[in-house]
Amino acid sequence: MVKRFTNAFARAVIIALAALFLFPVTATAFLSLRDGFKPYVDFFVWEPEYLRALCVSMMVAFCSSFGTVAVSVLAAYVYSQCKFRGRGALFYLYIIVMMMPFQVTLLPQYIVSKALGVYNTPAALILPGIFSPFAAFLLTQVMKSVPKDSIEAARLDTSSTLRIIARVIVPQMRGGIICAWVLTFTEQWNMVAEPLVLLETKENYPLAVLLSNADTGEFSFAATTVFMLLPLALFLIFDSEILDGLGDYRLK
Amino acid sequence: MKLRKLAVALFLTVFIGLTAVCQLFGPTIRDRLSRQVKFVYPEYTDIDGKYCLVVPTGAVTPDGYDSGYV
Repeated sequence: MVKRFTNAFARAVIIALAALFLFPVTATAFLSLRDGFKPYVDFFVWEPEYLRALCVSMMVAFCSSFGTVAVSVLAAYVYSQCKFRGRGALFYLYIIVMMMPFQVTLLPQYIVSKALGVYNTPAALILPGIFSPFAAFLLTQVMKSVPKDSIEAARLDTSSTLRIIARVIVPQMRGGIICAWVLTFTEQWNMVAEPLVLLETKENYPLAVLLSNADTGEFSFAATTVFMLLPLALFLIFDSEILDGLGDYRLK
Repeated sequence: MKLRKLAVALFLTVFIGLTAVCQLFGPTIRDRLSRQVKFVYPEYTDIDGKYCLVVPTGAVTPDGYDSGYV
């Protein structure tokens, strides 16, 4: 009896919390439709500034997240499979960088982007985003769970490390890779402070920055809804992979 | 489960495709749509003591007066 009551209470609390979390999302979507689909037509046709910002957001997030996964898989291979002096120290250094707030590295990023000549271009956002310590850390933990026997067996067939990574290791850590990709994509999609520091002209701003000027008009709600759609769709498509990836990360 | 993922993937493709089309052909689409103006009957308004004909923005009167005409 007590157990049944506890279960019902827990369920009620969970439903209430879910409703609380869903409220801003659904309210934004409904408020954007107060004037029909006109704000959406305005977004895609009559406000080229916002559409351009959406394209910049997509380009930065896709390029950065794919680059992150490519670099992090190689870094994870080194941390999990190669034995060398100072590997542990290097890994801890990576974790320390991951723990740092991003504002700490923002000024060095600004100086480096100026020196490389990429300041005020989308590359100023993409290049630092590629070297994400979180993705390398996550994939290292996932790669440790790949059976050593399969890697040793593959080594008998080929001497190419890249081929072993691509043909043997990557297919076995699909969940972890997709999880790292979606999380990095979302991180890049939502960034506001970095573009404000690393970009100068408004034409290069991603949508997240333009939305910081949003008001309570239908257009702002529609723009916010469009902004939510892509990450939401990615989570809906890859939900089981994300849970797999985070599960691997948690168990290590 | 598979069907839901397929539907979301389809939506995602349409969304990205729509964004790309609107970005690439935006000026053409805007040009075409702005030509499809509505015909309205003008209103006479009192501006600075003068009795004026006012045509709303993006509209054309049956006589051919456009929004620039006051």
